Order: sequence, then structure tokens, then C-alpha cells
Amino acid sequence: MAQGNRWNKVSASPTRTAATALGEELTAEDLFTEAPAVTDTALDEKLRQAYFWLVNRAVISPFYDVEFSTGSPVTFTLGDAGAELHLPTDQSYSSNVLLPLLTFAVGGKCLLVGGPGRGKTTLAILMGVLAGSSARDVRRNVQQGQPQITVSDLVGMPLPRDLVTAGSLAEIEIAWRGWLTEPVKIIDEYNRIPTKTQSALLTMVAEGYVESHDQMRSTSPESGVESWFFTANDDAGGGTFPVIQALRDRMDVTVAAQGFNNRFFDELVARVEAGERPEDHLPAELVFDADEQRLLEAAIRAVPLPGAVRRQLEFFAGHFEFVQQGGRRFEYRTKDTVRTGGGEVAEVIEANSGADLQVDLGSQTSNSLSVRSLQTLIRYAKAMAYFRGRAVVGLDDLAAVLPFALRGKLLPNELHPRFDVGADRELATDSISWLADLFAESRRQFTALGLDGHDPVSEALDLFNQGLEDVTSAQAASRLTAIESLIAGIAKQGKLYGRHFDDLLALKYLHQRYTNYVSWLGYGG
Amino acid sequence: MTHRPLHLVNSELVLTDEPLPATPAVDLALSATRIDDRHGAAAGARYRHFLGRAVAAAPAAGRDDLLTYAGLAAWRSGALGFRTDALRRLEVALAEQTPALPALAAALGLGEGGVAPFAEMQRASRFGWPGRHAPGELLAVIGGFRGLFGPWLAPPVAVLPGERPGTFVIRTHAGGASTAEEWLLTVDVFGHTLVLLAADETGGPDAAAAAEAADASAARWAGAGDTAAGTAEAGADGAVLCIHAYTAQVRLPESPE
Repeated sequence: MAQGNRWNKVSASPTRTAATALGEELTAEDLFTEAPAVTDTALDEKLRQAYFWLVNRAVISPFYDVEFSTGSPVTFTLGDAGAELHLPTDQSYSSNVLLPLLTFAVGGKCLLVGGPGRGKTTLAILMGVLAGSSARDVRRNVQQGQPQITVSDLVGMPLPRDLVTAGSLAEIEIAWRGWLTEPVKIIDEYNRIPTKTQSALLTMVAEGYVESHDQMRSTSPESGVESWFFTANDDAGGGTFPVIQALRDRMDVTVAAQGFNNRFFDELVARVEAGERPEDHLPAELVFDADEQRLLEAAIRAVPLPGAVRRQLEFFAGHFEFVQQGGRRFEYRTKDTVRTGGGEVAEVIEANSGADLQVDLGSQTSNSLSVRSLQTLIRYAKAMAYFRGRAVVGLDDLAAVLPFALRGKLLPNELHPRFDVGADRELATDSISWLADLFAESRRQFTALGLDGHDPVSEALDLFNQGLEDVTSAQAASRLTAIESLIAGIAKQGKLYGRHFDDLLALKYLHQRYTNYVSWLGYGG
Repeated sequence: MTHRPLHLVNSELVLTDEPLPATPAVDLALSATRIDDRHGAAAGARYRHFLGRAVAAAPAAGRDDLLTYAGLAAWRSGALGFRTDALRRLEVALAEQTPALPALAAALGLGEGGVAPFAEMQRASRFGWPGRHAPGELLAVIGGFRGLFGPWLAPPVAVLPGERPGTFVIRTHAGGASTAEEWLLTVDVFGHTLVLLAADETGGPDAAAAAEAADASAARWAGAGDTAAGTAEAGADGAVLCIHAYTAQVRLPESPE
């Protein structure tokens, strides 16, 4: 028997209270007006209501691992292995629900990993229902990964009639599979799909179209915003077929499905007794139609990323490209040079006795960050800020999404002493905690180096970006001297870290631009 | 001794769970829900008490009169966002002698003779209340340790008067610079709001602005102590905030102006 309308409860607005709202002037009339309804323009509020419905009604997920606090949260040290439990002071969230929801909002790609029966597919199906499809259609459109699945199974097949009568490939009509243009696409157990079929999938995921027998079809839905959800019970290379690296790299965020908290058994019993599935009961007011999906995605992209936050992200990303003995010429002393040349990055890092491995954050990783990863990170940080009702992206928004966006992309250097011995060995397998710690340490270094107050390289770049109009030959020469002096300052420190690499190349760039300018002035004058 | 947040005008208040009648003009139950949601259950209980008594004193009140009672009861219950509107309605009511005095008095928790003096005192100071004007008199205790249902994890260490009447800025501090927090207190005789001022990590659009803001903040707090004299109305002194262990106390000035 169905248990009344227990599914229909949607969190009352506002789901996040603006602190300043308490200070505003009110009149007696305000006491008798209903709380403002969710309108088309309050999509962030609707997104939050969807989140709270998902965590409170649909999936039993009492985990608040995406923590936000104003001030210092109360912290308890538990056990004798350094475990800490924080009690956040601001609204905090469950990553295994929030990240898929943000993926839906930005039109991204989410990989849900975890053992069987942890609700990965249910969550993905709920995202499909949020996008306006019926639960039955979404379930039917889930592509089940299995070792025999072919490209035709996935995308459709040519009509047999055309195969016989067509004079050229252009005359062959393809019966495309319906799921290709759904706004939410779900691939279950993607690490059980054969390699060739994975390649076809990669074209769809990366390029947004599918090709068969010289025919093409765009996978874009009506809204133009499509999100992908992949599930896998292993993220460490297991599965029936290894996942091709290019496809793995396309996963914008990777989220682990949490285990069941047995203190919430009553809800489990209620569901067994009722025989209900949450996706069949999503309240209609939480569904995002095509226009809302388009507006939502545009609104998220429009959230500004302030310069101070961008600078922290630049500083963080700068740690990972450089490796001291990676090459001979300065520009080629990178992990990519070692990797593409067939070398072992970990061994090259270990050979570097000049830098302090404890301080050098770059030595903890065996690779660097791709531009695609950084773009994803920016997009999800904007989504996080939007979801929290913030006008601009804050460092806390960035810190919250960073581990999920970089999981599986920034890989630990397993020979680093941190993962080999000592108190941090568990970070070799707990990549979310490791990445969060890496960013926190980067922020600490940024502050310790005083870069938030005085950053001469940024100042030199800003000065150049003001333009060279009316800059005299003498002024340009003086700037060249200043650049050389900055480089000499870094050289004098003796030790060289990843953070210096981008600075030095930027200074070389400026030096080259001013040199060319001075030459041009001389030629013209 | 543990000090609980309190406004002294409520210290001897005995709340009655007054029934709010269904009226065709306005939904009184909805208004009580709004106070509950916005200001908490304690303010909601006071609102029902004062509004219920006012409506009982004038059972045939029309929409405008009910709005006046609701506005006064909301303000009296501690929702200080209603002060300006309630005070305006009170002055109009006293001038036009409608609604009748008994219902106005009930909405404010005063005797009938106290309503006009109260309005007069409020014109001069948001802390005015009949019988409560001795120099140095305690008006409210705010704050408290979070473990005992207060807002603060660390004790207040310095206070500054705010820019607007009835406002103060309070700094709490547990030792390290990163644990300092600034709170904006807005207070009147009936209630207060205490809002944590966001220490926005972004620090403004660029690092230079952030550094400038940090310098300005340091200069502002350099001369702050554990007591601050604030204004009760524009240009008029009238309240002092002083730190007392994990709370801050709002008092009348020792020597009235």
C-alpha cells in the first residue's frame, strides 16, 4: 500500500536564509502574505528544493561531506588514528547527491562509483526524471554496459531495406536509438563495455554527435543542455574492459556512492512494505522544463569568478607541471615531457634532491592538470556558488568541488614519501581527502608567501596588459630590467618549485614582448 | 553563572496561549507562522500572546485595526524589523483615537495609561519603556556560548558602535587571527538580531582591495574596548554595550544626556 503523499513534501522556501533578511524593514502587511512562490527566475531555489527532496525523500543519504562553515566548526577527535568529525556551522551537503545534481544543472558528465546496490543508477534515473522524462522512459533508456554490447546496439542500425537497395552510403537511413537525444543519458557499468564501443561512446560524449554508415546525428536535446551519468563499481582500472583514458578524462566529476546508514532502517522498511520507487514520485513542481534547463545553465556560467579566487586557482594549478629533471631546456622540464618520452615521472621526481618533497606539492602527483580539467573545475565552482545563492564564486565553493572534479585526473605519485610511509598513507587510496588537503596546503603556501598582498609577476602582467601605447623606449627598457631583476630574484633562491615554472615562463613572455616592442620602436623611429 | 539572552521587558512576562480567532479580513494564524518561521518559537509565542489579547479586547476589529494590532504585537514580540511601521501605526491610532486604547495597550503589554508615554519615549529612543530609565539600567543580555544555545564559539573581546542607531559590531576571538569573527547587533527594547558578518574569503574583486579592507579593519578595531556607547536614535546617545563573559549587555548610559 502506498503511504499517503510522503513523497510530495518539498522543502519550504527559502531553503537558504540570507542573513541580511533579518535586518530589513517590514510592515504589518508582510505578516499576511504567503512566502513568495518559486518562480522561473528563482531557479537556484528550485535547484535547492530538488536537492533537499532528493536527500530527504528519494535517497537515504544522511552524509554531509561537502562542508561549509562560517567561523570555526566544532571538531571532535575520535579514536586513536587521528579521525576527526566536524560539525559544520553553515548549510552543508551530501556529495553523492549534490554533484550529480550540479552535473544535471551544468550539462556535465558525472561518474558514480561504488559497490553494487548503493543507489548509483537510482540517482542517475532521478536526474532524468528531473529533466522532465517519465521514470519509465528513463529506466528504459538506461544503457546497460555488458561485454557483448556493439556500436549498433548503442546508436542504432541501418534499415535492412537500405542496405540492400542503397547505391551509396548517403542513401542508407539509420534507425537511431531514441535515448541519444534524451537530456539525461545514463550508461550503467561503463567499464563492462568493449573497447571499440567505448570509442563510439567517446565521440558522443566529447563531440556531441554520433556517426554510423556516414550518417551523423547530434545528441543535443531540445534544451541544448545534456548531461551524462556513468556508473562503475570500480574506479581503479578494474571492470571487464579497461576504460580508455580519453573517455575517463571526459568525466567532469567522480563521486562515490555512500554506504547505507543503518540508523535509517525504518525508511528502508517503509519502502519495502510500500513497494515504491522514488523516481515514480518526483513532485511535478521540481521538474525543470527545457527552457528552465537552458536558463539554469546560462545563469551558472554567468556567475563571476573574482580575481582573488582565480589567482588562488592559478597558483594551485601551477604546482603540477614542472619537474626539475624532466628535460634539458627549461620549457621542457615537465612531467608531460617525461611521460610522452616513455619515462617514469615518479622516478624523475625521486631523482630530484634539490627541492624539499614535503613542500613541493607538485612532487605528490605523477601528472599535471589539463586545460579541460581546469575548465570543468571553474564550471562546477560556479555551479556550487549558484546553488548556494552566492553572487560570486568564493574560495570555499572552489574548495568544495575541487576534489570531485580532479579525482582520477590529478594522480598521486605513489613513490612520494607521503604515500609510502607515515601518517598520510591512507591518502593514497582516499583521493578526495588527498585532493582537498592538497588545495588547502596550496592556500596556506599562497598566504605564507604573501602573494595575496604583493605579487610582482601579476603586477608585471597587469602593467603589460594596460597596453604599450605611449610607452617610450626608455620605459620599456626599464620594464625589461625589472623583469630580469625578478628572474634573478627567483634564481637567487636556489631551489626551484612548480610555482616558479609558470612565473618564469610568464616573465620570459613579457621580456620577449617588450624586446620586440623596443626593436619595433627603434625600427620605426 | 550562566547568562541567557534576554530582554528585560520580557523578564516578568507570563505568556498565555491565546487562541487566534479566524477572521474574514486577515489570516491571523498565517501571521503567527511567519513570526515563528522568521524569528523562532519564543518570538512566535509572544506574538500569539500579545495579538490574542489585543483581538480579545476588540473582537469586532476591521482589517486596518487588525493590521495595527499585528504590527504592534510583532514588534513587541521582538521582531524589530516591524518597529518603524508599528510606531507609525501607533502614532496614527493615538491621534485618531482608533483603534481603541485597550486593544493597543494589550498588543504592547502595557496598561492603558502607559501607551501614550511609551510612544513619546520611543520617539526619543528605541530603548524607551515606561519605568525603565534609571541610569545604567540593564536592558538586554545578548549572545552566549553555542554549547548553551547562544551563537558564539568564542567569547566577545571588543565592541564598536555601528553606523546606524541601535547597532553595534562585536568581535569574538578564540586566539588565532583566523578565528576572529565580527557580528552585527541590531537591538531595541524588545528584540535584537545578531548576524555574522561574512569574512568573505574572496576579499573583494582583487587582492589589493582585500589587503586594503584588512588594513581598514585593523585600524577600526585598534581603539575598540570591551564597552561601546551607541546611538539610540539619529544623533542621540542612548545605549551602551559592554562585554560580560560570553555575553554582551545592553544598558542605558550611566549619565543620561
